[in-house]
Amino acid sequence: MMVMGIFDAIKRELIDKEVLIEKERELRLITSALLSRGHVLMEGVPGVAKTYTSKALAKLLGLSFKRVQMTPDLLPSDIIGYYVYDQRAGGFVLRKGPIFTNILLVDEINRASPRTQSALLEAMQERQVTIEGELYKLEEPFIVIATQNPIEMEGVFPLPEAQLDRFLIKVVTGYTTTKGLVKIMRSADEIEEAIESLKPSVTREEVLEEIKNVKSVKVEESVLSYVASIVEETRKHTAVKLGASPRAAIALVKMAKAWAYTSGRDYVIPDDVKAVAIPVLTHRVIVKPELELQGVTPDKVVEDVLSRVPVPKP
Amino acid sequence: MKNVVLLALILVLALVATLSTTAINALGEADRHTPGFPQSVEGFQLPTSPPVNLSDVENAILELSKSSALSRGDAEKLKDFSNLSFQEAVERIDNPELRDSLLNLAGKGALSPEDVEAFLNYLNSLKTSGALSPVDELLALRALEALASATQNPYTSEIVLRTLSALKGLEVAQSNPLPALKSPQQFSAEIPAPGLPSLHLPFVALPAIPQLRLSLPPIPLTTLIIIAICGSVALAALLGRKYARPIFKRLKIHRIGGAPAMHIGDSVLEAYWRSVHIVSTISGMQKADSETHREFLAKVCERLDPRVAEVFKDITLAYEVYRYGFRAEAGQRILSGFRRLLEHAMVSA
Repeated sequence: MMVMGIFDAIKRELIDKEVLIEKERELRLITSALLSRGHVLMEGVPGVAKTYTSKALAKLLGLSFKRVQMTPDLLPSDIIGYYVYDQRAGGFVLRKGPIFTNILLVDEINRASPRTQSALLEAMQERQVTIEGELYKLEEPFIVIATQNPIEMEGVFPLPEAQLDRFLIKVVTGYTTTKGLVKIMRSADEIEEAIESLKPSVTREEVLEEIKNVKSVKVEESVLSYVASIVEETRKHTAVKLGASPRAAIALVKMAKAWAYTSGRDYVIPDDVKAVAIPVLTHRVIVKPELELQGVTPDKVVEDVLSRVPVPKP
Repeated sequence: MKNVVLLALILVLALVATLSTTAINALGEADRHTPGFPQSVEGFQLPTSPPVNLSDVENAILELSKSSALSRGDAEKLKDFSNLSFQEAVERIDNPELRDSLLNLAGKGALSPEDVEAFLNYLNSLKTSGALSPVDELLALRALEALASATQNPYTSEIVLRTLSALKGLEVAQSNPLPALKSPQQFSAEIPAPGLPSLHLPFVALPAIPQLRLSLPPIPLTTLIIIAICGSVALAALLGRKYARPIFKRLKIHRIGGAPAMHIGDSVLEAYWRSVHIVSTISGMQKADSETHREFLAKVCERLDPRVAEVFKDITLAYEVYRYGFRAEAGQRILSGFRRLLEHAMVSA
């Protein structure tokens, strides 16, 4: 088993060479989501390298990359694709949408209309699209990295809970430290050039191989019970209106396996579960509105749950 | 740590001693006051002394010269004393060093209180060494007064007082060829020598400094008890540690040996949990139920001897491999690690 291949390359090329500064956690989470065949919702204010992170990852992994800027007038066909009449050929030909790629960056997903959002999310879930009655499978690996701005309130269509659940993780990315910011300012041009000139270090086949390897990571019975206890506890929590679903439990195990794999292990330990619990669960937990006003956030609820659920013993 | 405790002990003892002494004084003397006598400094006022000026000094000089207590030369030098200017006073001084000092002082311009004080000290030193005649002293003080008056120096009245004292010195010097060095206060209280005309100098005796009596509030008994307890604890921490160490060592070994019975059914897993018990005992940090093995390792390592921490780290990682990675070979690592940990624990305890 080739352990840590992808993440090793990412760390070496992007973190150690300071192409992306202070983004190791985000990169590791996105890599783990990719290896778990999940999609990522990136939440962060504009200008915190959300696009750069996705683009650099795609280039390094030798995968195709496309970007869609969501707007309220965007149609599902603009993403999925459509048939156009070709006069030379004398018939209709398919014009594939940007969804036919390996890594799709959907910028400001909450700006698209609910119709377009649901078309995209269906494609994400099924990993296939239907155009004019014809089914098209999307090429593996396929990962959607959708971004949204947490402070925008006007002109947006917030994702419904059911659709949020389709995202394997929500990565909250923020500002760098002062030291990191100084580094970015010092080498802004070099960073841009470095991302443009990135060469693939891992092939698509290797990525697929690693996805297969992650599936074989062992999860001991007591760890599964631990995950179940965490998920159930989110439902019982007094501050919670809607807790995590069984899909959330599956996502937690998947991510814990990928996290263990990127740590160089072929077995999951409780620490892996704890490490990914917040990115996996926070967007699936809804806090009671009256408590939300008092400052209780899903992050705090999950942290509280983790601090109370006992880890497997002996 | 030991030094800190020692310092704390000294400070506490010093505080206790100071407070006790003050408290006793305050309590003991409160009753000894004459009724109506002010017990606090706020209610006390200094007695006022009568105002003196240079004309008093001049009158005294005239009386001395009339009674032939002054030689003709000295009387000539001190003639028209109150109206002497700075230059005139300086010119009449015999001691060249003193003259230079006064001229230097005048050259400085505005006279500060420090300058006056320094000059008066200088006069004292000259007087003590016998290099200053009473007449020179009077003239020097007159010159200084002229300078001080010009700059409205607050020391002016003190200089005049000093001049009067110097005049007393002159009177005694004329009557007694071997004068003893006496303070101005003593002179003012002295009875003039029989047979000599007495000077009618104004009374310039400085008031005796009153003994300040601070009325401290009585210290509550509880405060004294707390201070005593703190002192005892500090003393026990300093001295008792040496004697307590063997006792604690024995207790710790007993606790390590007497781990609660575990019936896990797997000797390897049991060894890990016994190791947890040992490091908990050594470090005094318990593993919380929601804490992962690595979280506990990170927490406890900060408090362990590096060698013990290294052994426990190896045990923890081996436990994870054995428990979650299903690798039986890691069991041997846990068992050998447990034995090493036990040895280290016994030695370090």
